[in-house]
Amino acid sequence: MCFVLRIALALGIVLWGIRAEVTVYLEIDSPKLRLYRLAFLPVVPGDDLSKRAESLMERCLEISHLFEFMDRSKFPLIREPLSPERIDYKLWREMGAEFVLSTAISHEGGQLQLVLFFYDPVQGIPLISKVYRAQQGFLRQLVYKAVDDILQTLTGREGLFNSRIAFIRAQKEGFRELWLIRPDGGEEIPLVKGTICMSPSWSHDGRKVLYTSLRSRNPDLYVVDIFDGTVKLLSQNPGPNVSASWSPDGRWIALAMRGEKPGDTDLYLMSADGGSLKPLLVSPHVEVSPCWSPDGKRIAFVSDRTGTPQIYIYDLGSGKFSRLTNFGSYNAWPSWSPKGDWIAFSGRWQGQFKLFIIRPDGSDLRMITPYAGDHERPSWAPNGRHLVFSSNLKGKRLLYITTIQSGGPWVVTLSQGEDSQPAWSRLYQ
Amino acid sequence: MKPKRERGHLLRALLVSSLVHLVLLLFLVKPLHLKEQPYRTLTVSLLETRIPEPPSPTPQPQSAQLLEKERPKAVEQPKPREIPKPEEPKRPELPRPVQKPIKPEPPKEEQRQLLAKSEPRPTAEEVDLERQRLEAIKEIERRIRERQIEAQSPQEPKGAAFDLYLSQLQERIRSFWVIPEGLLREDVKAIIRVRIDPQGRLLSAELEKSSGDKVFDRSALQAVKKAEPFPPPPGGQTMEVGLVFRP
Repeated sequence: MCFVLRIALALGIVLWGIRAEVTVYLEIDSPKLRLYRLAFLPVVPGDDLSKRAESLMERCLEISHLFEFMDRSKFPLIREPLSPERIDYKLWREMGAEFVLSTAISHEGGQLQLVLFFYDPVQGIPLISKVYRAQQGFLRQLVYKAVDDILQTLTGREGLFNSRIAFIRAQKEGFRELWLIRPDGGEEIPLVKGTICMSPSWSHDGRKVLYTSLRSRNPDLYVVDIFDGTVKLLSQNPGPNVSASWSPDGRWIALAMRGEKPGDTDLYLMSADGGSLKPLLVSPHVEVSPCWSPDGKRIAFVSDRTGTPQIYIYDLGSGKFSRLTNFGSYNAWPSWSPKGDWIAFSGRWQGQFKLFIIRPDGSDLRMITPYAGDHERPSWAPNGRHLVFSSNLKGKRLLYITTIQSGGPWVVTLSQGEDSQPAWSRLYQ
Repeated sequence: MKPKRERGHLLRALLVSSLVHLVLLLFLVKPLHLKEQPYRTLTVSLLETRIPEPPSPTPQPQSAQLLEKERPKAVEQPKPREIPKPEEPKRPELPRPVQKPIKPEPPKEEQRQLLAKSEPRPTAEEVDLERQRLEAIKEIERRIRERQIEAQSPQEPKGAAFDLYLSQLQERIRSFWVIPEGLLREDVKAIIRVRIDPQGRLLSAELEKSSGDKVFDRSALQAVKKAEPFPPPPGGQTMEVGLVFRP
């Protein structure tokens, strides 16, 4: 018995020894920080529909800021989508592709059909094989869904394009209207016309937009349902009812209203239906632009209590607040990132407004738009990596998108008027 | 009696032994693998998705038209001149506090430093110099780490040829490692165990320890695959190395 046990033990030790004969560990560091090389292979020759889908997809992929497109002229002609049975991984690997995207769009039985294959040719594995279908006329939605799937698969994080941006468009007649647009610049829609609107802000389900309007001469707070267009008056206290922001749980609205002195504004919390109101921060100074943290426990806001507008953070639990920005003479329009890890704002730097991001504890301050122009009112995309802002970068004030790595900027609006005060919604489910 | 009991023990021992072997064998032959997503074709229908506005080329959606109808007459045509300027809290309009203005606090040292970093983009030369400097520091740190690892594993093969080979391997894999800046996490580490045959071909690359970040794991695995073929290991042997990927 002992003999057998001993043999078993010895064998175990030998096997363990083989297993444990580990080898050298080699440190690999400093990856190259660049975009992935993508072989984008729409089926050729493409009809009008294919070309529209292709350029839309290219634009969305470019804004996603993860890929650089490889020169297609060196590729073999792809006449049918590259299904997993047909793809030659080695060929694409040798061409230097890090990802391969093969698409084909067609009309099938009165519907649009998008076939999409997405591969990692380096490891030789398919990542997405899907067929997307939609009614005629819904090409954009089809492409948004497909691109968001690619982004989700690649990054494990939320996509970008199934969202909207609300903004204010200044028209020649003097109106400042509330409009909606998609992040790639598609589907421009006027939502509130013929009046003066300002400071739009989304509900967290992306269904409603809060805005201040002068339709009754006083800057009152309204809410509009973007799907059925119904408008409801929420707050009409004399004086400003401005810079409203919805709490993440949807129960409260933080906003700035007239303070004790003329010109002074204080922060208030209002129930989401406009029913009840309680003071949040009342002082002899100007307090504006409240913005909730994603956990709903803190509110960033702007105050001029030290003589210049600076950003502060108010803790709802303790009722205390602390100063966040300690540089420059003008820091405003805070926007808390969806993950809570950054606060973006505009700060005056060498005479112009630039976008900055900073950690909520005041560390890690970075300028992300170090180029000419006034860059104002940043608002985070649902993915926490992109931001929309308004800028006079090319003369007229328009909306642009950038990333926290200073990607782009990509222009969103190309209107006759001037566009400003963007607010990016969450993703639609 | 006695032989019977012994036989019982023998059986139990055999059972235990085979179980131990089975476990050990499983441990050996079933290395950790990244689970590859099996290929499947899914059909996603967007027909059921609630899409609010029909995509008409004219920018006059239903919602806006509805709104126009609902709007009370009095507000329909407000003339810009009559309308007071919006009391939107914008920069020049911010009223000064009545009491004596407090001097703005000087920037905190930390934020000032960070600001200095955000100044207009440095020239390509400056970037190169800075990069070289950082790389030199990283190189020194890497060598120190390697020494520490070396000291911890005395049984590993030694020799100048072997060291040279490892540094070639390291440089080659590093040169193929790519990740977009926005996706790089700083606090992660992945270990990939690779086996390289005497001709420098990759026999296997297995994820020994995942970083927990899909993007990071994939970028490391891609770097290894792209780096093939490797220089042939010294001494005509098959080489097994653990690659520790850390940004």
